[in-house]
Amino acid sequence: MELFNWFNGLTGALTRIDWLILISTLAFIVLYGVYKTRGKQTSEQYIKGGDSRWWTVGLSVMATQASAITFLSTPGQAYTDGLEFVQFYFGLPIAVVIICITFIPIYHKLKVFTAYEFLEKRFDIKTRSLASILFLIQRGLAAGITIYAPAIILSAVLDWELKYLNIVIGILVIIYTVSGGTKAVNVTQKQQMIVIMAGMITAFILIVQQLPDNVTFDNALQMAGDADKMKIIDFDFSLDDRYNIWSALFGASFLMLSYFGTDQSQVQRYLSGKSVSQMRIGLLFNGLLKVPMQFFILLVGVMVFVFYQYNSTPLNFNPAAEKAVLESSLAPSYKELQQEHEQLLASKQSKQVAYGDAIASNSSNILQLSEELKILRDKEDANRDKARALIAVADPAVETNDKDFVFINFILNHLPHGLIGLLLAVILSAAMSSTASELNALSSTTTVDIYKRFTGADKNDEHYVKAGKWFTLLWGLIAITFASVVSLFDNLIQLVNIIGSLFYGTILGIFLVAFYVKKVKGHAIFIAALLSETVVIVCYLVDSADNGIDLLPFLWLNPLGAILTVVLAYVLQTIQRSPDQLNIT
Amino acid sequence: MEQNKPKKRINWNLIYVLVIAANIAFAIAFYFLSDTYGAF
Repeated sequence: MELFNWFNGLTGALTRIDWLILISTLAFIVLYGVYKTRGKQTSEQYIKGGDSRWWTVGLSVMATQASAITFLSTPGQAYTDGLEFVQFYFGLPIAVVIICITFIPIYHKLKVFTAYEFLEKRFDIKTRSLASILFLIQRGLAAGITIYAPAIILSAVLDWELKYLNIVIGILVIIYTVSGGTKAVNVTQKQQMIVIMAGMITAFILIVQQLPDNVTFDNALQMAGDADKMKIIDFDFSLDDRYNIWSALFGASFLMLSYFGTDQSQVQRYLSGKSVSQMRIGLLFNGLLKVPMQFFILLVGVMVFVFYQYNSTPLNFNPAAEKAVLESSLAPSYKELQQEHEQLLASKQSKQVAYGDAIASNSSNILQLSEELKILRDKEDANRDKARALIAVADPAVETNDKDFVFINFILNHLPHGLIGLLLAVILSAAMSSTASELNALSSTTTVDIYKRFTGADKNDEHYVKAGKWFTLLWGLIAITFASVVSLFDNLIQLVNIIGSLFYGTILGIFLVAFYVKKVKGHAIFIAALLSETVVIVCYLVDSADNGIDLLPFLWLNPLGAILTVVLAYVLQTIQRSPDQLNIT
Repeated sequence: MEQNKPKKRINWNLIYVLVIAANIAFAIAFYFLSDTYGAF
């Protein structure tokens, strides 16, 4: 009843046409997933998928990686920092080529259902269990965040009840993931990617169209360049700089290799390929399209930036943050800042019009106007910083960094009705596609690596399909529960993300040894993994403590964990007199 | 007849090189784009 009242009370930014498009798109995806996988399935079909062509594999891999936060946060990132984030994705093609050469043929030859199954064939049960349990912990927590992260943003801007939004996203995913397993996840991800790309391309066209008549696309890029948003490639090597081509080629390659090669939520996508060739082409499709796709999403953010140079913006894009401060004793100070902000916007907008005219007519005062605009923008940024500080005092729990709210603010206030519904369908589709892969992989790992492995493989096939369905449901409910309580604990999201990243390097190290260092056996790799994980955690703790010591930036902990695991495993194996004694299998 | 037809073999190494080359081309294009719009 409460849910019904909440639904009836939905008003504001969305009209009937938005609701119609949003609900029909999401309902179609769910029903399509259930319909395409109706009937009895074997465990091979339910867990592995098994007969996908390359385009299904490719789109499924792409949809798994692109979460809702990709479409909310990435344009906001470009709005504030420009296009340089795209460099991070140059690690991806290197990683997928390595996976195509080594990982895929071996996974296929051994006919494994999960990546961790391979570790028992290569080493022993304890290494397989270690890797699968680490995966279950990190993905089990991350699945909750995949639902929660977009839900908190949408609930803030649309005034929807957060707990119901968590439940609705979770239940929609559970329906088709439980019913159809891997195949349902794969077929729905194709539809989701079509919705996502159609929505983003339409949004891009409309943003460019809404710029003043004399501002061409080329002029808009020049304006973005003058505002330092067009630096895409950075060749300067610096460990502290998060995005330069070197950290991408080295740090991000390791991260992508871990993610695509050893994370079951991705491995399961390409294991569903019909043959080695179909799996490889599906992955290479991502190696080819990921960089241009991310560039395009960032470019949408840059165009939103140019658009907002001519149009009004709130002092803070997060309405929940503004509400919190305006309801506190700091409201008068915040209102003062808002007034200052309005005045700055007025002078910036008139200057921007003159600057746009100067660019269009190629007049001589472009540089001077650009410099004057830069000064105004700096003042605006300083004002926004002051506003954030006030918000943080008024309500320490509310998110003051409003980068993630920029694009959704633009969608709701400047796109036509109908398209608002489509763009919300894009965001929710992306949330659903990533969550579906996670629940699907969590269920497969629990069924294959834990349940089947430790209860004996004497049950019939139908039993494991049923078990897979129950585990999917269970993980779905855990994800919804976690999404519902995550906001109650400070910094929990950050903690979950850190836990995930801290294990990635070591897990990759285990797989690299498995594939490339034949000499190393079970005991050596197990001890090496534990030692290197300890070193990574110590490095992280030393870095994050307020002691003035900076060992390694976060992205570089991945290569450290991987390389240390490989070297330690090799050394440990070598110093043993009898390597055979190390292998308990 | 159909059985005698030689199976088409995919030259995977060539495809890997092409995928990496395409990404190098993106990087070069991005460099020139940055340069054109005054980033350097």
